Amino acid sequence: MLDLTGILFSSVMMLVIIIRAVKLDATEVWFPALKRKVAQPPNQRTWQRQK
Amino acid sequence: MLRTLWLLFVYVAFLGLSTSAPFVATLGYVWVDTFQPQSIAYFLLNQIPVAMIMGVVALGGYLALDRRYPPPMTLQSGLQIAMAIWICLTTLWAQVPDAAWVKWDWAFKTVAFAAFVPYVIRSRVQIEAFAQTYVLSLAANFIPYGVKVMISGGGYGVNLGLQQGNSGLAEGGLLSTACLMSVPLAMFLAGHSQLIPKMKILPLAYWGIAGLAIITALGTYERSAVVGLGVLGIYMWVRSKHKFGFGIILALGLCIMLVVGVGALNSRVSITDYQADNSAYVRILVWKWTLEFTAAHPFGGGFVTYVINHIEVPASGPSPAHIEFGRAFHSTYFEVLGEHGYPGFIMFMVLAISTFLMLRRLAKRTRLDPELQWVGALADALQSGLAVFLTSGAFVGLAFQPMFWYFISMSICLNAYVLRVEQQGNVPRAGWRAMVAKPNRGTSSSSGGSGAPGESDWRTRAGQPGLNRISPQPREKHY
Repeated sequence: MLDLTGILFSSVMMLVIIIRAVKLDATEVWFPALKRKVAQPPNQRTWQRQK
Repeated sequence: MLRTLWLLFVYVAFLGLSTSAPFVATLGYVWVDTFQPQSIAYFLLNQIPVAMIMGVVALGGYLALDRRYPPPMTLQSGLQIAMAIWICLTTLWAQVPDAAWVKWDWAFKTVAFAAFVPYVIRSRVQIEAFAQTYVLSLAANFIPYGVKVMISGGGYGVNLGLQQGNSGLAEGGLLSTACLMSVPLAMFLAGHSQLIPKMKILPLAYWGIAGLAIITALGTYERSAVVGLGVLGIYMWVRSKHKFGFGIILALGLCIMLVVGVGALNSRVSITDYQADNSAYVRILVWKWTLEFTAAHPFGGGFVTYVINHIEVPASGPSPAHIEFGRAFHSTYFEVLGEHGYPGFIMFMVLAISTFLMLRRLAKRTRLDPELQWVGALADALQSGLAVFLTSGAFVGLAFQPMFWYFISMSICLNAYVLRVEQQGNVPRAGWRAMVAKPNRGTSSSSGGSGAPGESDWRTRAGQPGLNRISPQPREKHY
C-alpha cells in the first residue's frame, strides 16, 4: 500500500508537471533578454583622461 | 496488476507527449533510468527494452525535430565526451573482459546520455522539468522507504524500497547518497518552481520529500549517509542566506538524530577505530592494492578490475589472518583509478572540480540579478548535491551511477542557459569583460563604431537563426 502511494504520488505529480512544461515550453520565450543596467568599466576615469 | 498497468500508462504518456515536445522523451529516459519501472512491473514492461526504446525516441526526436540552440562546447562537455570514449578504450584491455563488458553496457549509456542531455535541455522550463523528473523519480523510491523507516526504524542491509536485490537503489550506500543529493534539489523546487501548480500545499510537499529523503538516508544505517548528511548540512548552511534560521533547523535536526539513533548509528560509525572494524580495514587494504595495481597498469584494468584482487588480512583479536578475494573498491575515486587508470582519474576529477567551480561562478554572477535568482539557487543546490556525492563517494563506488552525471549535465545546461540569456540581452559584463565587450568605447556617440548597437559585442550573434530576435536598443552613452 505504501509502495503504491509513493508510485502514484510521484508519477501523478510528474505527469502534471510535464504537461505544464510542454505547454509553457511552447508559449514562453526560451531565453528572455535581461533588463540589466549597462555595467560601467571599473577604470572609467582613466579612459576619460585618455580621451 | 494495477501497479503495472499504471506504470505502462505513465511510460506510454511519456512517449505520447514526446511527439509534441521532443524533450519529454529525454525526461522519460531519466524516469526509466532512475525509477526503473522494468524492475517493478510484473508484465510487459519487464519484457521489453524500455530504456532503449525511450533513448532511441529521445535521440531520434532531437535529430529530426529539435536541433535548435546547441550548447557551446565547454570543458565539462568535452570531458563528458572524452570520458565516454576513454571507458570504451579501457574496456578493450580489461583484466576481466566478460564482466567488464557487462558493466560497460550500462556505464557507457549513462555517460553518453548525460553528454547528450545539454543538447535537449536548454530553456528554463526544460531545466526545471529535468530536475523535477529526477527528484520525483527518486521520490517514488524513498517516500515509502522513509515512511517505513519512521514506522519500523530501518536497519543496515534491510531493504524497504521498491527494488529488490542488492544493486541499484536497493543498495544502501547508493540509495542514501542519491537521497541526500536530491534534498537540495527538492528545496530549490519548493521555492523557485514555475511548473508546480499554484497551490500552497504543493511547495510543502517538496519540503516533505526532502525530509523523507533524509530519513531514508539515515534509515539505511550507512556510514556514508552520516558523512554525506554532515557535509550537506554544512554546505547548505554556508550557502544559505538565512544562516541563523537555517542553523537553528540544523541544530534541531542534529538533536533529534542524537536522541533517536545514536545507539544504532554508533555501532556503524566506527571509522576512526578502523583496525577494530574489519570492514573498514579491508577497504584500506583494497585501496592500497589499487594504488599498487595502478602503478603497474597506469591506464587501468577496465571495469570490474577488483575481482582479480586478493587481500591478505592480518590477524586481529579473535579472527585469524586470512585472504579475501575480489573485494570491491568501496570508493568512487579508487574505482575510477583502478578501472580507468590515471587518465580516467584525472578526467573525472577535473570534471567534478571544474563543474563545482563553474557553479560557484554562476551563483556569484547571477546573485544580484532578480530575473536570474533561480539560476543562483539551482547552482547552489547542484553544488550541495555534488558536495554530498564527492564526500559520500569516498566510501561507496558510485562513479558511473546516473546521479553524478545528471548533476554535471544540469550544470552544463544551466551555464549554457545563462550564456544564451546574456547574449540575448546583449549585456556586457562588469570589470574587464565590460571593456573587452565594447571596443567602440568612447566613440559610440559619434563615429568609428561598428554601427548598430551590439554588433561589436564579441559574444553577440544577433543574426544567428532561431534566436529570439530583439530589436536592438540604443546603448547608454558613458563617456
